[in-house]
This record gives sequence, C-alpha cells and structure tokens, in this order.
Amino acid sequence: MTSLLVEQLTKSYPTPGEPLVVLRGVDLSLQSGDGLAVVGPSGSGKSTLLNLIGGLDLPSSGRVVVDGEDITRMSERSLSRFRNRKIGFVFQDHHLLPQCSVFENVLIPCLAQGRPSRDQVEWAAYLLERVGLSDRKDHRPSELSGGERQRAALARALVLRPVLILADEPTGNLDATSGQRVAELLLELQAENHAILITVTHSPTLASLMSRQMRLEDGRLVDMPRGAWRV
Amino acid sequence: MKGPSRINILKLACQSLRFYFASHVAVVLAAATVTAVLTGALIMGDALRFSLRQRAVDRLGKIDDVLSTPYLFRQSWAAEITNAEELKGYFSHAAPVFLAHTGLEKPGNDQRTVNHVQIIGCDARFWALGSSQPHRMPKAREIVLNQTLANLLNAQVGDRLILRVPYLQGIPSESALGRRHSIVNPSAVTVIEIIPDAGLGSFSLNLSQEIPRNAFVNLEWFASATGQAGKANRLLLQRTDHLRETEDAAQIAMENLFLSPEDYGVRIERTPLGYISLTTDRLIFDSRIEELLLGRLRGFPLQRVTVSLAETVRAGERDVWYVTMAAVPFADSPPLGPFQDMDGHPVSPPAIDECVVNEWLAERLNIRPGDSIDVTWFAPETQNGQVERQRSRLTVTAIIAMQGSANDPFLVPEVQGLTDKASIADWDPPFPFDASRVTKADEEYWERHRATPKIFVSPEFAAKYWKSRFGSTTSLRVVPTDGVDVPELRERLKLSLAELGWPVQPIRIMSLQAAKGTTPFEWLFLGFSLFLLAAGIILTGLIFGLSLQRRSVHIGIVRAVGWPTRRVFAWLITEAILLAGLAALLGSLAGLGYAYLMLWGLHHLWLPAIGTRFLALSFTPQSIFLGFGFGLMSGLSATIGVIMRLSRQSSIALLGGQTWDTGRQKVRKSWTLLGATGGLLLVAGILGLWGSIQHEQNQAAVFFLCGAIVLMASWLILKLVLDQMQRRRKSINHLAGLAIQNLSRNKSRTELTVLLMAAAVFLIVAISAFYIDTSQLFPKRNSGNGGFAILGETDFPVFDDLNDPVVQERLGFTSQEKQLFKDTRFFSLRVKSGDDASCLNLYRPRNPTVLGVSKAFIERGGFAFTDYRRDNNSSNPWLLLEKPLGFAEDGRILVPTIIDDATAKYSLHLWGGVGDHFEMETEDGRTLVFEIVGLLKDSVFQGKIVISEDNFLRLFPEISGYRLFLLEVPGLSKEWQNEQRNVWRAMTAPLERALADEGGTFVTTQDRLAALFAVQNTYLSAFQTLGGFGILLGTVGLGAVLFRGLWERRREMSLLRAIGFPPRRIQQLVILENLSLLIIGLVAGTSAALVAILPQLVTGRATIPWHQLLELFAAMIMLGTLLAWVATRWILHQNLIAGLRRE
Repeated sequence: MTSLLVEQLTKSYPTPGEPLVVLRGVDLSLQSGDGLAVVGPSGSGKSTLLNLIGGLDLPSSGRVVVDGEDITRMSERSLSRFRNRKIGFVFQDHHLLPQCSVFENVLIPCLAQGRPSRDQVEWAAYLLERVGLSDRKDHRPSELSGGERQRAALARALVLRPVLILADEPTGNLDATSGQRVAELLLELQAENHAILITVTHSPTLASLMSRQMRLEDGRLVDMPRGAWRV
Repeated sequence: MKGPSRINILKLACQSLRFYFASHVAVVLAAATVTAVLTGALIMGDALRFSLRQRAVDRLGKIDDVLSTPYLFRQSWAAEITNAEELKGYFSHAAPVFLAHTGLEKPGNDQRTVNHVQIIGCDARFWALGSSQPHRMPKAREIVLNQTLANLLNAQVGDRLILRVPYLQGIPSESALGRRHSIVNPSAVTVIEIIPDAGLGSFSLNLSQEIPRNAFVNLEWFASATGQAGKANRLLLQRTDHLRETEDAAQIAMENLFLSPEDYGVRIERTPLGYISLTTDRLIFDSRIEELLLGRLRGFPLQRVTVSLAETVRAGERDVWYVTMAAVPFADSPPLGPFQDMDGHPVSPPAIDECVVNEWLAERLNIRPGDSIDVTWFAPETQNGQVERQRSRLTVTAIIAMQGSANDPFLVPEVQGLTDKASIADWDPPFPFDASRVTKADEEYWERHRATPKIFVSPEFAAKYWKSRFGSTTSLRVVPTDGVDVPELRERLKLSLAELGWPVQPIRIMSLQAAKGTTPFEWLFLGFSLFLLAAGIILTGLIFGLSLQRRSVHIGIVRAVGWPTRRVFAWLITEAILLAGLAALLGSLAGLGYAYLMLWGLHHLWLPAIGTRFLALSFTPQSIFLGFGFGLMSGLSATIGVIMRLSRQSSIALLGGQTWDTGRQKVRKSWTLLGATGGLLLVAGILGLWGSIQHEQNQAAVFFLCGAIVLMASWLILKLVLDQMQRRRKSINHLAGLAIQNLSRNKSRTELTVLLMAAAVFLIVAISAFYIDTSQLFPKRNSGNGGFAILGETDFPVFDDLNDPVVQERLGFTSQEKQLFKDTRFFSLRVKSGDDASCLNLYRPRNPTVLGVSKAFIERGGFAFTDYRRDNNSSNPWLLLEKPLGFAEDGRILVPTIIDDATAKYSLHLWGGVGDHFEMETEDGRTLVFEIVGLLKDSVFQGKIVISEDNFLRLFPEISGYRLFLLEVPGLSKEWQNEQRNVWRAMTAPLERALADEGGTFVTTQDRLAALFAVQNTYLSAFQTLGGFGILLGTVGLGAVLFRGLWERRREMSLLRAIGFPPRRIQQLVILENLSLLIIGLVAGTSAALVAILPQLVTGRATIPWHQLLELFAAMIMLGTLLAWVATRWILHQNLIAGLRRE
C-alpha cells in the first residue's frame, strides 16, 4: 500500500526585500488509488507544490514522505533513483525528445539505470496500445498531433509503474476532446496501477474526475467540498 | 513485437547528432579549425625536416663521405683508394675536387661582381656522383655556372668572365717567407653552360638552405692555375650500397687509408752526403706530423734542423746581406758531421749567444774566433703583413771549413722563388729585398754553394728566436741503416688518416642529422596560430553550449524522469565525442590545407624568415594522427565544461528553459570583485615599478606580464559593471542605454566575447614591443653594433693594417677617400670559416665560424651584453677572452669565448648561459672545448663565436690574415648620423674596390643587423597576421552566437515590433549591442597592451603597427556590424505572431 505524507511543507524565495513565501506549512496525506486535483489562481504555487512532492525541488522546511521514505533528506543520486522508480511526471508540455521515436521516448526513463529490459519493452508496448499509439510507435513527435504527443508523454510517465503520478496541467495545451481523452486515460492508468495521482489543473472536467479537490490559497492547501471548484 | 529495443546511450547520442546536425555544423567547423591549425603546425615541422633533408641529399648526390685535408693531395690518389685492398667493398667511387671560394666578375657595360662564389674544380668523376652533368666537361679557361650564380651575374652562355684564381702556397702566408700580396690572379674564362640548381648544381659541403653560388671548372686547369698542378683539396667518396647507413664506415676508412709522405707534404731525398733529408712543402714541419715522423723513425740516427735568413750580418764596418743561418746539433761523424775548424779540429756546439761561421763569411767580415757579429734576421711570423726583424749579437766561437757537413746546401729546404733561382738577383721574395745589396761575391757563392748556411747556431737559439705558431723544424736529417733507402723509408713513413687526425667525415649522415633543423617549426607555428587556436576552442565551447541550451528542456525532462547526473553526462559526452571525432577527422585533413597556406605565406609574405623558397609540403602519418588526437582532445576540452555545467543543473531549472547563464543568475558581492580588481592593479603597479629598473631585456617580459594582469583586471571590472547593471534601479531612456543593459542578460557570454576580443588585441599590440626597428640602429657603443658603422668580409685574407696610410695608398684610395677614412679606425678580425649559426640558417650547425679579435679590439670594449662572467673587476667583458680558464674535466684546455645570446640559445642550444661549455671538432680531427664567458645582445656577431686572437692563432695556426673588418667612425651625433647614412654607404664602395681581388664585401652594420633581425621581425609579423585571422574568426563565430542569441530573443524582438518599434530601430539596438562588445574588447585589450609596451613607448623604441591595427579593428567592426545587420534582418522577417507565442 503506497502512501504519501506531506508535513508542514514550506517554500519561500529570497528577494532583495522580504522573502517571497509561496507555500506556508502545507499538509497532505494520500494513499494508493487516491486522486487529488489541486486548483488555485495563477501564481498560487500549485506547480511549486507538485515539484516539491516530486523531488524536483527542495522545500524551505517540512518534509515529503513517499512509501515511508523522506525524499527531502535524500541525496541527489538517491532522489534521481527514487524519482525514476517511484514517480511519474506528466507536464503541460509533453517534452518528448524530438530525435527519438514515440516508442523510444516511452523507454527513456528505462535508460536511467541501464538498458531497457525485455519486460520493460513489453510493458512500454502495452502502454502505447493502451493510449492508442501502437501504430504510431515508430513515428517522431513532430508527426503527431498535440493530443497524441501528450498521450505518449503519459505512457512515458507510467513505463516504470510509478506509485505516484504527478501531472501538471496535463490537458492545458489540448483541445477539449483531446483533453478529455487524456484525462480519462490518466485516471484509468492510475486505477490500473493503484498509484496515487495528484494533478494540478485549471480544467473543471479533469478536476471533477478526481476523488478529492483541494485549493491552494495564500500558500495553504485547503479542502474544497465537491463542486466548490466551480466558484 | 520484435525483441528488446536497441535504444541505448550511444544510439540516443547518434540520433541527437543527426537531428541537431544543422546547429552542430558551426561547432564542427570551429573544432575542425582548431584541429586544422594543430595538424597544420605539425605538418609544417614535417615539411621543414623533409625539405632540409631533401636539400641536403639532393646537393650531395651519391656522396657519402668527404676527406678534407689541410694539405693538397694527389688527384691520382682517388683511384688508389677505390682499388686499395684494405678498403675493398667500402667505396665504390672516389672523386677528387678542388674547392675554393673566390669572386667572379662580369666586365663590360653591365658590370657585376659576385663574391663568395664556390669554385669547384672537377672532372667526370665528380659528375658521376650525381644524376646529371653538363653537356660536356669544361676545358681549360671554361666555366659552367649554376642558375643562381648566372642570375646574379646576369650571365649567358658565351659570356667572358674574370675569375679570381687564388695562388696557393704551402708556406704559411704570415711566415716571413710566405707570400701576402698578388696571391689572387685574375683569369679570363668563358661560360659554356648554365645548369639548373638541382642536384650537384647546388653541391655544397656547408649546410644552409640557401642555394650556393657554384661555378664548375676543369680540375687540371684550376689546380695548375693555383700553382698546385695535379693536386686536389677534397676527396668525395661514395660507399657501396650496404654501407650507406653505417656510421663507423668513415672511421674504418680513416684507419685503413694510408698516405705517402708526398701526400701529406713531405719530400724525401737522398743527399750527396749520404743522409736522407725530409723537408716539407710548408717549409716548417707541422708539429703533429713531425711527432709522427719521429715516432716512425725511432731507431734511426737523425737530427732536426731549423734554418732562417738573416737580412744583415755586421762586424764593424763590414756587412753581408741575405745570409742563411742554420741551427743544427753538431754531430761527430758522417754523414751528419763533423764540423771542423780550419785546422781540422772538431768544433764544439755553440752556446745560445754564440755562433760558428763558415770560412767564406769569416773572410768577408774579416773576423776571427772571439769576435762578435750583429745579426739581424727576419722574424718567423709577420705582423699586419709586415716582416719583422730581430737582432742579436753573437760571439763567433769558431770558423769552420766549407767541407763535409758544413758545405751542405741540403740543410736548406727548397723555397720557390728563392732556391730555384739561378742568381740572388733573380729572387722574387716576399720580404723586403734590396738587390743592390747583393755583391758579386754573394752571387759567386750562390752559384757554387746555393743556400748553404754561412752561420750555425745552437738549437737553443732556434728554440728561443725562430719558433713560431707554425712550428720550428725545417728539415729532418736521417741516417739510413740496415739497407734502408728512400723507397723503404717512403713506405715506412706512410701514415693513416687516423694517425694524421684528418677525418673522413660521413657527410651524408651528418647532413641528415643537421637536417633535423634548429628551429622547431611545429612549435613556432603553434605559437603563431595561438590565437586561431584559442578563438576556435572558445567558439567551439560557446556554440556547443548554445546548441545545448536550446535543448535544455529535453535535458530537463530526462533529469525529471530520474536520470542521474552521470547518465545525462554520459549521453551528452557521447554526443560531444562523436562531434569532436568528426571535427578532428575533417580538421586533420584540412590541416594539409592550412600547412599549404603557411608554406605560401613563408614563400611570399615571410620570406626573410627562411631566406629562400625551398620548402615543400610533406607530412608523416604520425602528424596526421597526432593532429587528429590533439584536435579530438581540444574539441572535448572545449565542450566538457559546458556539459558538466548543464548536467548538474536542476531539472526544474532546465524544464523552465534556464541554464547556467540565463534566468536567475548569481549576483556576486561587489566588494569581492572590487577587492580582487584592486589587488591585481596593485600587483601590476608594483611589478611595473620593479620592471622599470630592470635591464632592457627583462623589462619587456615584466611589462608584458603587467599588461596581462591589467587585462585580467579589466575582465573583473567588466564583471563588476555587468553585476551593477543587473541590480540597477534607474530607468533607461535611450536606445544605447538599453543596448548596454542588454549585455548583462547573458553575462558569461558577454564576458567570454569581450575577453576573446581583448586578449587578441592585447597580444597583437603588445607583441609589437618586440619588433626591432632596424631604421634606428645607429652606431652606438653599447649596442649590438658596438659603435661600428661598417662591416666587411673578404674571401681571401688581408694581411695589411688598413689603418696604415701607406697601405691605403697602395690600395689605391684617392685623396678624397683617404680624407673620408681619416678618423676611421679599422679593426681586423681573424676568421675560421664554418657553418652559419645565425637565425638565417635553418640547419643545425656543427661547427660555427670562429672569429679571433685583436688586443686592440678587446681593450676598446663596447657592445651590449645580456650576461658575462662577473669575476672580472673591469667593466669590459671582452677582457675575459684573455683570461685563462684552466682545463675541462677531461684535461683539455678551456677556451674562453663570447657568443651572441640568440646564437647560443637557439642555434647551438646552449641554455646554460655563461659558464656553459660546448665542443667543436676541427677538420684535422681535434676536439676543442669552449666556455662561454659573455653573451652578446642582438649583435653583428650573430652566428659566430668570438675568441681572442692569441687563442685563435694557437688553435688554428695554419690560418693566416684577416677576413672580417669593422670600421669605427667616431664623433657622430645622432642627427648627423641620420644624414650621413648615405655617406657610410659611400664608404663601402672604395673599400670594395680596394679589396676587389680579395673578394671584399662591405655593408653598414645597420644593414647587416636589419638582415638578421628580419627573421625575428618576420616571425612577429606572422604572429600578428595569424592573430588577426584569429580575431576575424572570432568575429565570424560571434556572428553565429549573435544569430543564436537573436533566435532566443525572438519573442522580445516580436514584442518590440508589436509595440511599434520600426525594424530599423531594432536593428540599431542589436548593432549597438554587438558593437559595444567589440569596442569594450578593443579598449580593454589596447589599454592592457599599452601598459605592456610602456617602456618602449617612453623611450621611443616601440614600433606599433598602427596602420595594420587600425585596418584590423576597422575590419572587425565592419564585419561585426554586417553580421548584426544580417542577423537582425533575418529575425525580423520571421512571423510576428509566431514569435509572440510560447513555443
């Protein structure tokens, strides 16, 4: 059973004047299969929160514990390994490597510790089929539509079966139809892998699909009652 | 589904390379340029060695060894050698030649004289050592010229030339009986052919890349014309094929080649008295040969005899002129004795102040035993071409009868012009001779007794008064025993070359050794191209960094999905290795092109550096591989820093499109930078103050260092200013201000650009401090010319003192010319010719030319020294030449020598400075050891070594006369010197006319130094030219950076357009930014450079090539502006809306 525990997470940036506090003591607890949508106005720190949980950045104070491991105390090397094995990222921009095929892009995380194993290759093939891109696997990203690229990015995020999926505006650059499809896929794959899913979104559709919604206000994460995100 | 995907780091790197190749082209070009320069420099080294080797091999043909003897030997000896049993299988061919250096004149309307022409008296045997020959062999009074000589003379086939044929004599010229005048006989010759310079057309035993001025004449005729019919002075040997590379083959030849006495100048004849007389062509036996003969003659009764000629013998009012004297041990029995008085009693040997006279002289002078006579004789050595006289009063102890040993004309060796004359009146002597002093009685004596001595003195007397540097013994009287006669003795007295110490030099092997050169061209061209290399490496890193920055997001994503730093590094470094490898491959091949360009430059722009167009392109595989290797390493070193920095960036920063020099940049503490800048300027100041009191030689280096420190300080100041610009709060209200502010957006890129420009400008300007302005080389006592205005050299020795008005009269100076030379002092120097060890010769010298300076020269002092032995209390370092140094570790005498500093270091590789030793092998097989007691700075003696005249005569007694002359024209002010430069040049004409027969060439010391310094100045010029290319390359590369930068700023550009900036205004902004970078670089570099050359500026010695620099700066600014204009025009043509979108 995977768990995520965020305790008193704080993040501030130094400026010539007063430090800019983005997150003020954020607390959060999630279990396997939980899905959380984090909403809030632009500049509220949603992406910052996601980056801290994903180990892409270090908090000013507080801790993030994933599966019993406090990632805020890990070394850079351990953190990289942890991110590789346990966390899957989906960004607003797909960030596919243009020089690689779709299939190769999906396997990129497998190259972190060596060469992809047979299992990983088969799993990648399965994921591509799940996201509907098995017939495009040898194509380059430039030959795909925006939605197709994002679906490929989704497959990449899941190739190592992460326990925690972090999606930052995964449908932000997509039209409604593509966005809907990506959102559904995201949730399906999350359920299949019993992963924790945290998504930062402005999309009401996506937010409504998540089992829980929270709002980031004034640096704090506040629960929102269902339907309250419409406000 | 197929097997596991083959995606791996290597495949990813290859795909990335293919995908981004367009942007990698500039990286490849920059890195390939670096490799091309590196490889090209290595190839230049190959080309030099190859060309020197080719030249050495070409001009020697099939010659492997050469025998150079101090004596002329029989031409027929060549055939004996190849047939000699002991040398069977060693030599397949031998050719005798007669070599001389003299002058050749073409008379007529287009009168031309060329001195220092190498005359090669030869025949078909010589030409058999080459691959081609003239259409026919020259006969008597015919001459074949090589093309170089023909061009100098402007001669054609059929032209009549005047050849100055030297008269060669065995007797040393500076002995009393040696000839000093009329030793050159003009002889008319006709040109029958002009041959190419290739092959034996450029034959020379001296190593230089210059083509010798060769003229070929008939061997027999030339030998006869020199008075040495049937003789030669060089033997050229070709080995059998299997021995060509064997070094000790020459040594074996020396041990097995035997010379008959005639071949080493010794005559053997049986005398009527029954003994065998050994005499020498040189009149006086060489001490080494004498010692060898005495060794061979051990067991035979023998005597050493020394004869001399008295000018007068007086007793009271009576005198007799031109009396032969002999010093001989008195023997008791025939055939060497006895000496008996008029009563038949044996006469005792005289003491040192006594003598015995024969009855003829006693009667003429009316003397008896016990009487004294005053004898005046000619000293064995002349001084300044003048025969000296010595006197002594001797007591006559006995009168001897003219019979037996006392009546022996064979006591006196043959002297051409004297003993071969029928009467004394017919004498043609080289000493002062007054025929009116010869009486009838003298002639009668001559008719009956020839040169039979009239006075006999003790050997001790001879040792005291008649010994000279040439020796003392004039004949050996040997009593044959055991049936040994002349033929047996001749056989017994055969000496090997090894015993005589006459080396057979393995000239081919030695030439190939010397062809390795003394100037390391690869390092030289690496130095010249330093800036191209630096520009290339910096640009490689810069452009590669830019291309990686463009992919920062993709690098961020792989970091985000868990790639550790080392994995990211592995990916990017694999890409870099592949790129660098491709660039190195292209560059190593392009290196050939670069080398070709450098060759063209040496042959056309920088010809003074090599003297003649002899270089040919050649390379070795090792150079290509090394170039490839270095290029690969430089490409990697340029990129590895970028990769390391990028690999370590956080994924979040990379995902945000930020790299190490964009986005949030670290703002340094101002005071840290201020402190560091202040510290550097303080150090520069202290160094400058210290440097101002240093010797001129060290000043240049110290101030160069100061300039470099100031350059570094400028860089820190730039950092400070850029940081301040980032922190600024004041608003910008003009375009220029915005342009300047934009420089702080990408600080590292700005710093790198400015640093590149500034460093290039600094080097190019500062290096001009090392130029030597040859137009300012006025005669100045403490300078490289020592205060001498004119330098002259002759092919033949001059014996007379040129300061003597009588001599000047005899040389034909007009009264106007005598007036011109009235206050001039001539200093004559002895010369032992050798290899040119100046910077003009690219071959490694074996035996440099040695000069001997007189006491007067030593006492005069002068010249500039970089260092000298300090145990001399006097401020005149020249006095050190006369101070004995003792012995080397192996017991050989150390000879003090003064050398030009550049010659010592760069030609002879003597880096130890004062106190360093070096050895030199002479032609007669001795090894001399020299110790450096002084080092001259930028002197006219470059390429030669200088010793005292006393040491010179002791080491090289066979060399007579003077062949180098320095003229001091005192009392000239600098302004007057300026105007009088033409006067000095006018002085050289009468001197060359007066010494035309001796092959005199006179130049101003200014012209001589200019020729020597031309090499250094040419190298500096090459550095500046290539440095200029480096700057232009940097400017072009910056264009690539500019394009890239504008691409990054396309949204900004689009925004400016969207808010109403006209395109022209945007162009002005970008041009201003670019120009600011260039100008800051120029100002920083020039300021630092001016500090570096401050001493030269203050003293007016700097020759900054302002014209060239302004042209370069203008080219940089124009090119930079053009690139900025083109780049901006391109970016402004992009779609406005697309530019405003995020990606």
